[in-house]
Amino acid sequence: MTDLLANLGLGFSVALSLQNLGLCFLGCLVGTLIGVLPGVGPIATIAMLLPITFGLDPVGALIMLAGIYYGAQYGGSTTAILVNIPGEATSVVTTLDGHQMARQGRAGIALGIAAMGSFFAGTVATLLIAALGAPLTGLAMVFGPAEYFALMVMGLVFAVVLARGSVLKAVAMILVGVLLASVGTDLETGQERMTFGLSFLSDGVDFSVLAMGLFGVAEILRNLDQTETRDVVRQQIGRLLPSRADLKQAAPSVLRGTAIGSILGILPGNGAVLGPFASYAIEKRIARDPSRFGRGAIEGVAGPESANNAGSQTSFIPLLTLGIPPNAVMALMVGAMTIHGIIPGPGVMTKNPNLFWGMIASMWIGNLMLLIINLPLVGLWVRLLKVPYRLMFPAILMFCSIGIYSINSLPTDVMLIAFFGLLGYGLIKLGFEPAPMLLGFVLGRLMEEYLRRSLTLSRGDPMVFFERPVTAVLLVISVVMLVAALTPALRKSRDEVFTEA
Amino acid sequence: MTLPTPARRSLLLGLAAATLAASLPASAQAPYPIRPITLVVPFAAGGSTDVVGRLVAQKMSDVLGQQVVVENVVGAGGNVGAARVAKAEPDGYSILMGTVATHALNPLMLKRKPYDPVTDFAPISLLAVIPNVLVVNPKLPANSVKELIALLKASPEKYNYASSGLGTPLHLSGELFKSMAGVSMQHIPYRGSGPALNDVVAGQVPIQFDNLPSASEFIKAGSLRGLAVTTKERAPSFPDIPTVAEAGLPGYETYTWNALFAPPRTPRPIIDALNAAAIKALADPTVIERMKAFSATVVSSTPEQLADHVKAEIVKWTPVVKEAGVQIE
Amino acid sequence: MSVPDDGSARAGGPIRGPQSLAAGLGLIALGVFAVWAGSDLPQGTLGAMGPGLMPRWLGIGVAACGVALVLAGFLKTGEPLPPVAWRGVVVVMLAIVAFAVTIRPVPVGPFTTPGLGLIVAGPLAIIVGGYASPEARFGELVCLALLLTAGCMLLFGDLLNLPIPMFPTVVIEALSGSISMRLLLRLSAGVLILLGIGMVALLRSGARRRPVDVATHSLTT
Repeated sequence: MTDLLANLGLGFSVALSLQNLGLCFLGCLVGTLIGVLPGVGPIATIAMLLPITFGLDPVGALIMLAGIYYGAQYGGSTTAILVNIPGEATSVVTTLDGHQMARQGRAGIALGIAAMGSFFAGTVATLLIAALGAPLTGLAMVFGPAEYFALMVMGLVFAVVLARGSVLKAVAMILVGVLLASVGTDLETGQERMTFGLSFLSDGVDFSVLAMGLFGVAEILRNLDQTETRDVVRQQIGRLLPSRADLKQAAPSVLRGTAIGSILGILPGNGAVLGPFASYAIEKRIARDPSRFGRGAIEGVAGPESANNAGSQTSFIPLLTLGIPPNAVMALMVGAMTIHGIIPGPGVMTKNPNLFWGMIASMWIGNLMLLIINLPLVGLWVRLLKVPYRLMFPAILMFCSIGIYSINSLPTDVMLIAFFGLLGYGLIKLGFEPAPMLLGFVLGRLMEEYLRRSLTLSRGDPMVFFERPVTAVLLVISVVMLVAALTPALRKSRDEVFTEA
Repeated sequence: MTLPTPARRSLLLGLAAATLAASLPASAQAPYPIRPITLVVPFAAGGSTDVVGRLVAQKMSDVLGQQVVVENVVGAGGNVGAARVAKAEPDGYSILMGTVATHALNPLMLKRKPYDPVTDFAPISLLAVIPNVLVVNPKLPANSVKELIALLKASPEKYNYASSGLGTPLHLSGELFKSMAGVSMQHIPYRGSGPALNDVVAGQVPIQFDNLPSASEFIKAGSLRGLAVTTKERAPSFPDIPTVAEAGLPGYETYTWNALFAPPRTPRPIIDALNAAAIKALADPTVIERMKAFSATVVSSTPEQLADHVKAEIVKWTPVVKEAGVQIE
Repeated sequence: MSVPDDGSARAGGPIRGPQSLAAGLGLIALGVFAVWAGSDLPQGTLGAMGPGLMPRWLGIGVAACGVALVLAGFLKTGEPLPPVAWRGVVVVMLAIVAFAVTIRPVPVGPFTTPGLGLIVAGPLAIIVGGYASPEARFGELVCLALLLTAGCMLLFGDLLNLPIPMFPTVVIEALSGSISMRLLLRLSAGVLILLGIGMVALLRSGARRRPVDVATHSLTT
């Protein structure tokens, strides 16, 4: 305990220097900005800003880059709530209820609860990293390919749970998503799958492209359908910030979301992606009236947003304690450390205590800054919704196009958002929901990869999924959840499962 | 989209000042370069190629008096970025960070070849050589290459080895090891070296071929056992680790190299200017020191030496690729 | 997933749920297509799963869901097919494609489009896209295009430093060396903003009938 206090003291003494405070603020600000801009992601931005950090000391540089990362995670939910475009896989869930709340004139409350929930989650996650970071790395080691496969299966079951309408259509969408994820060069054999010789498909479909098309463009097309109702909805603006009652309603979800997100974020194999989905699924399951979900339930924003932010903080654990980057942004941080002469690995904590504890302390400070930056912005965002839609949608269209172009500098990516926009519009017309498809897409690729890897390691013996305790438990949970999701629907009426949209 | 105005202004100013400072010695009289140069790195930001590229680009900016901007053009194992430079205007404003993958391995493995590594590029200079390393999980009962070979021979098909992906120099290092030692083990490809390291440290997969830079801290911390480096000479950062050749497979040598290339038919004066800038950048003490810190060795060359090097590498890898039977569409 | 919408027309016959039927047919088509597209890929064994195994079974699964939905379309009364707003769909697609082919040179068949940069592609996307809505007004869209493009040039090019082409390649080549790109970017953004503000003023004074709500936008870019 005294160790922890001494370490945190060291961390805060580093993070509270004037320069580092400024860099942390700058990082959070840039992060919020790129998070809010649809399509523009932290990877392109951090890569372009890296040269500017050359002149800084490594601790300051990393504090700033980390700020960009979690700032972007945070800013992404703003876009998800306001215009229904998820910037990252983790904010897909936020669109479900967050955007509904915005349509009901409760955008301010949604943004406010997202900001507060994230701050709380960030605080807890930072403490968790400080207190238990090193021992928790053990958890990362327990998870092999078979465990990750089971985890991904569980995630796909969550996707069924979070669907609003027909279970059959949700299952179909998940399968389509997984199918779409298999497009591109096969990791194990190098063979191209379903690319039809098109070179821009050889690396598969980019998540941002798919999300932007299915959500952003399709949403615009849908709104263009209904000219009359839309602006009326946008005119009425209620409270700017959550009321006491809202907070009371959301508090338990925030707690649960924080716990789930923190645990999943520790896993280096992309576990953090699952946090918001898991949180949403659980909130919906234990809610007294699950039908409110997908129609603007505050718990559906509070839980996943907390899980998201907790996960984005704890995903620093594998990077800082093991030197293993759990995602592409963290890989970029590894590069940044290397450029600054710090070689990431298990020794960072003992060899560079300044860096390790300074970054942890700066994360808490950064979360506070995000709250300070974002709460006043809520009013502004909400006012933005008042802009007439005939001007709003061309602007969104242009931001989406620029944002998507900025990821890979490929005009074909921009054309693909038009294609997926059309697809998404067709799906809406046919009564499908895009969220399960996007989740299937995100998890499908990982699931296949882990499945094939575990089977190769076991030389084709499927018992590998039952002999290992963690795997078996996760698979059992998945089956139970799937049955629980299907039974009420089946009980209602067998026919209804097939037709209810 | 919306920042409070003062904050926005200070951010603007800060960024502007930073870029201004970097481009101050601009407005050189020479006709080249008169605008920023794009250095295409065909791999993801943060990897070892990217790090070498950024270190060199920063120093080259100082030397040339124009920004050398790194642009990561990712895709198809480096081919997308390489093909882009191969087809770019030969004006010296787009250059490529080539590697053993883009200029020797990929062209040998691909059925459809997007470019020719020899004729579609004008070589500028070699930059760095990065050793690979054979590491094992410390629980594996093999303390040397000889013991490992014995272990693999005793139970063929039992063991797996990890690499950062299909057709990468590390995968082929493993295949070369298998064929030279006459052993068999199953290749497990990963998406990059990080996830592979995770599974090897955790003991899911016992053996891995990795870049020395990314494995080095794990070897130092004892969470991986470094059996041998793959270069001809021992790595200066790990003088205790033998080479594969000394440890039982004479003649075994693989390494990852990075070099600068321009589009074909780039005028000679431009190539010379870039070559001189690269050599100057590589002589910078910070660059040497940073590269050394992550186990890369600085190597500069003339354009002609690089051209010969590419040809020699293609000759060296052709039989390995053929034997490994790796084909990528 | 384009589905013949003849189902909606004959909703009175044996088809009780046209939406389910169309959705099911779409899924069946997609599933069959996936199985066909992946038919040349090796299936492999359990120990060494081939690249074709997952796509094939996923295709079969998708098609099976489609069959179930088709059955539901015959058995159970469901929703009709909603109408499609073709104007919006077509114009939005056009706007996005216009942006894609003008932002940088793109080979289209034997031709290569000229790379015009954000300064042309941006306004093009906004003005073309704006006409997706029947409420579009030309003057308003021009103001929005000018101000938003200027804002985006500063935001993406200057502030975030992203490698997005800003100007036509011809202009860059003609001017290269005589002026720093950053200065050019700022100057032209300034000109665009002035033009935009001028347009706003013009619209305001010209049309007293209805105030144009553009001011919020110039602040928010």
